[in-house]
Amino acid sequence: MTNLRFRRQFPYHLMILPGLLFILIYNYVPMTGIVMAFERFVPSKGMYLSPWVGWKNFEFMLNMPGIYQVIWNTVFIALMKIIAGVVVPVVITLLLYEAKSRWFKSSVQTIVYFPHFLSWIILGGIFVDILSPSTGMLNEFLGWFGIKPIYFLGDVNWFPFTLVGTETWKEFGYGTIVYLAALTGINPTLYEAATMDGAGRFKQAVHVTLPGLLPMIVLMTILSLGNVLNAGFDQVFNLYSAQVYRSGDIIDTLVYRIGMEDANYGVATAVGLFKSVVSFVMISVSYGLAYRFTSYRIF
Amino acid sequence: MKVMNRKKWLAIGLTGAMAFSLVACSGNEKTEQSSASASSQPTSTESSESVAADPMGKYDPPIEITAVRPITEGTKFKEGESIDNNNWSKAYQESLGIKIKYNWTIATAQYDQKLNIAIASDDLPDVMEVNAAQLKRLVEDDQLEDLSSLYDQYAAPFTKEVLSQDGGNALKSGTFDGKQFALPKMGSGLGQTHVLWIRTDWLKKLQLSEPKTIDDVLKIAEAFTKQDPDGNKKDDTRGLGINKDIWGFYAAMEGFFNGFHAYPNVWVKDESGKLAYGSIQPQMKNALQKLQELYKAGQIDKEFGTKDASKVNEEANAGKLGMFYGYFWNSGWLQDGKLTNPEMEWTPYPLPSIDDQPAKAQVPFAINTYYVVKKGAKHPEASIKMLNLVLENIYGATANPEAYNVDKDGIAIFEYALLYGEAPRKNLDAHLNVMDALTAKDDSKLTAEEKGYYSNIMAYQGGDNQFWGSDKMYGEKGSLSVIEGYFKNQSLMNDEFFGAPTQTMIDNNATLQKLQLETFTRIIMGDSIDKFDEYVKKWKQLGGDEITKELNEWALAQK
Repeated sequence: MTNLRFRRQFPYHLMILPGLLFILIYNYVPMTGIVMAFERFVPSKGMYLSPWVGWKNFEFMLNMPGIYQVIWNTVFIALMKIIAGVVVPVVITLLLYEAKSRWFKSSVQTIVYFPHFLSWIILGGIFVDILSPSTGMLNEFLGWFGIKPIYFLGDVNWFPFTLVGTETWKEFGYGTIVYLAALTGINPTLYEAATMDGAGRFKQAVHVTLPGLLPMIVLMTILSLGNVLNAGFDQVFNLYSAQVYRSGDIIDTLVYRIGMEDANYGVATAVGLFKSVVSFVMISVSYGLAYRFTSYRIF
Repeated sequence: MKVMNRKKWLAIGLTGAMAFSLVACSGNEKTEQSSASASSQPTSTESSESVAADPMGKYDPPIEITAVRPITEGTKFKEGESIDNNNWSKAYQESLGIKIKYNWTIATAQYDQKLNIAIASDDLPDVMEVNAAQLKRLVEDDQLEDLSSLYDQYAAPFTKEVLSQDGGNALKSGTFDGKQFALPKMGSGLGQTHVLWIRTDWLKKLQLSEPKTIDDVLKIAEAFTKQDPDGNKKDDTRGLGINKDIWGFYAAMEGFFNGFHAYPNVWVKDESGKLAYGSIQPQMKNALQKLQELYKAGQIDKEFGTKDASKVNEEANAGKLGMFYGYFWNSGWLQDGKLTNPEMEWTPYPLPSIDDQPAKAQVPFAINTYYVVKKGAKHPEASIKMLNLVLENIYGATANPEAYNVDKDGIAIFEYALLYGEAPRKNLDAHLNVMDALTAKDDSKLTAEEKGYYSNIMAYQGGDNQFWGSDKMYGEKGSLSVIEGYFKNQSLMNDEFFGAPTQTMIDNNATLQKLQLETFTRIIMGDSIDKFDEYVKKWKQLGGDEITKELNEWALAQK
């Protein structure tokens, strides 16, 4: 019986083959490049003939002066971004959901989504102007309230928060769309029942809308936890400067300087592998936790 | 159920096997190729003697040379032409009897990678271009032909002149243990020296004189900041421009430091004749101190730390900036400002000095490409002959630049030449020739390229501000006349290290660069100047001492 079904379905299974091949060739085969992390990579000798150095590249990385500061910067910035990246879109979604006018809703949605399409190369230049303490728009605005100009991009203490703020501003529109989409999946009868029970708009939002969004919130959080060592290369690279290295230099910018500018491929790969392993562990743990607390599975 | 499972695994296994065989196939191909080329390697060196040591002698019967090469993105060919059929391939064949067979050609961006594969699989052509690191590797692996005696015999006098115009370092950088393994692709370090660009219309307005010393520079910076040079009654102008990286080609500080006899980021000789790193010498401290004072006084942008070169340029073009250090071609970046405000006038000056010793402009090492010949090539001297022909046909006494350099339609014919080089003095000579032509009102002696500059300057003098930038480079008081002055007075400081980076350099560069940039930026912004001494100490600890030792060993090996 099963045999027959399988035979009938076999051609369909075969259709997956090109996709599988594609993933195998472009996603799995290149993973062999990981060996570079254990070599003193010499381009002319290639991946297979370069001398093997074992854990030396990792030792080198961990002995680099200031490396712990860099790791801390990365984790701090990334975690702040993850938190802001969940909270802000959810709040905006709840607010938008309450808005009556369709026209208002969709225009806000479009406007906040737009920055997602701008690259950090462009935004970097714009933010240097907007955030300037002497001529910037934002500080002028803050000045109306008697707040002294803040050097957002040049002050060691402010810089990480500037990163989080600008990143959230750029990306929250994208998150909002995802959550708004999830809202359409909530059964309208729940709202009717809540109204019957005498729940107002606020109670409805807390007891119906929010629980309805929870699986999506968990999913998005889990997916973003894998980014705990990704503080956003494009953004930091375009906004940071020597004066904020102390709080703004992250693993990726360091790897860029080692790998691209100094052609020290072995060490750069080792750092990359280190990042991947940490991300893998983080995803696995948060996945387990998510299942435990919300009984929600992605896979 | 079990059956299905087994089949499923079979399918997956199959998929895997196919993918694997795909990879394996491509691998096989490579090894076959390389073994084929290995077996067909030349066995004898015949006939070259019969031509005698004539730098331009023709091979008869013609010979064939194998080569690989990058092709610059955007290279155009005339109707019916290709890399195998063009003015240069014809010239090689007709004048020298050399036919070039390209094993492969590839876009410049991918060349290094592809060549690395060729090196790894021992599939080298007779002639190829390599970078410094590849050169070192190939020499260490004994894969290159020693060209020393051939160069003496076959290089034409003009070739020898061009290749040693930089004082001989270019040739030395291709020499290992006294054996010359490479012909450097010449370029100009002089084009990367700093000049001081000043708004001379402001200078006149405030009745200041031209800067001779660093003190003058400081006075001008102060006046430009405080005396409202643009006359708009607002405190919105600044004296001296710096970009956030401190170093570079525009609004950078190398020129300022040179005025203090400090040479950041290059290797200089100390009193004992040993190589020393310019950035850690005591003269740096004085320059940093002065920059700190300028910053405190608001003559440097308080926010320079976040502004890159193009941001600073926006301010210069908007009329907010009065002075900066940069390369000779910076007037091109100022062209927009000149067009919006024709009153705006920038003039380049030689670097002012802190004392009565003239400032020396630091010159980075300009060679990053070399031409090499595979060990055992049948006609190793052919590459030298081809270089003779290229330099002669483009720049020599019998040059025909329209046929071999850039033609009437602006097609870059020189891109087709297998070996190439630019005389380090090319731009300077162009400036001098254009000046001569301007006095004589006759452009007939100019090359096609120079004629372009000549007509631009004529147009500018006729009132067309569109060509102001050209005049500021090649014209009478242009930046190249400033650099010509450096050259004539020998007020230049060459980077004394011109080899491939050592392992310690590669390992520690990121850390040391970060340390330097962070320390210097913070000092300028007000950190204690004593931080400089701390920086020197740390630099030495974090690999600097080791690098200094390695480079001095390298320097000894050069002698």
